[in-house]
Amino acid sequence: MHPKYQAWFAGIKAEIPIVLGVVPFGVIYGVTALKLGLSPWLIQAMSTIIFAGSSQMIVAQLFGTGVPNLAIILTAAVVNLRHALYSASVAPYLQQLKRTWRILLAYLLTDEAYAVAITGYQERNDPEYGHWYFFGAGFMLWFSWQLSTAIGLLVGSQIGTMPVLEIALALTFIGILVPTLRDRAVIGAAVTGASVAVLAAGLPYKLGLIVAAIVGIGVGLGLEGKRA
Amino acid sequence: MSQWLTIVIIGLLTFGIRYSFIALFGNANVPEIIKRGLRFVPAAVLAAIIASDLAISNQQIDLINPKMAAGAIAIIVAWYTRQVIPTLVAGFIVFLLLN
Repeated sequence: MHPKYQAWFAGIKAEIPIVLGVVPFGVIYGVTALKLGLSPWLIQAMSTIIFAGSSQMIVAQLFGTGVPNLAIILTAAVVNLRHALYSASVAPYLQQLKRTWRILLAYLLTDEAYAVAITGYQERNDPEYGHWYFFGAGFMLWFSWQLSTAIGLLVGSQIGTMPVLEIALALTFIGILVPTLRDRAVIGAAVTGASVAVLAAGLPYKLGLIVAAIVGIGVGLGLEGKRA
Repeated sequence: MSQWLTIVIIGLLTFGIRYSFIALFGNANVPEIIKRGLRFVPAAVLAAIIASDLAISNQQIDLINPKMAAGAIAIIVAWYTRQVIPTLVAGFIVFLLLN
């Protein structure tokens, strides 16, 4: 098999454990949006066009409340601002790629694909076909997100909300994050990010996440500087 | 403005955010401090998402609850096994036992 397909399959394989946490979230999104009275086509289209779980959930909730559409647009954009950090983080690895590739990978740059892709870039030494690994991970996540949304629409009101599904995504992220905590500076960035996120949770539009990320990065840099 | 137009605009904005630095970096020299800072993005952002999922209920800080206990056990299991699936299973079990 050509190395590019090997990289693609490796990306798919690395994404599978994350998909276990994402599928429940996609089902919950489909069910919830349906209960809020949105049309099934619109709900499914949001998963393709927006392709960002937490903002889709918020948009679905706001559609029913009479909030002006312009305010909904701004809210969703702010909620998705953290993706700019991911964009900056993967950008150095994508510099040599053609524009079509960069556009495709940018479209696939969700929380869950980013987590796998960046670990792949840092740990697999594959400068030539690293983008195929990213593509595999992103494709797997995309496919699961579309499918789980559709499942949510099909099962609809037949299932109630299961509380255990609400923590699936957090547990999945723990499984990705903890093994990467190798040095003091990275641990410092993570602990700070977590603490600030909790303290700043009162900020609207999930802005607390962005504040937490920036303070966490600052602490990481500070700790690294001390050691050096 | 229709709901359809709204989601198309949100989709374009979301894509724009994701494409922003990928599009820019090709042409610009990135300052050293930014390059070093980017190493901490996954840890800081993922930890922030995890903490707000586990420790916030109805926009209130709530540090003692089954979600936090499940998260704590999951962190320990992840530290030793370094794998997602055992982490997920251990967290689920603790959460179900406490609910």
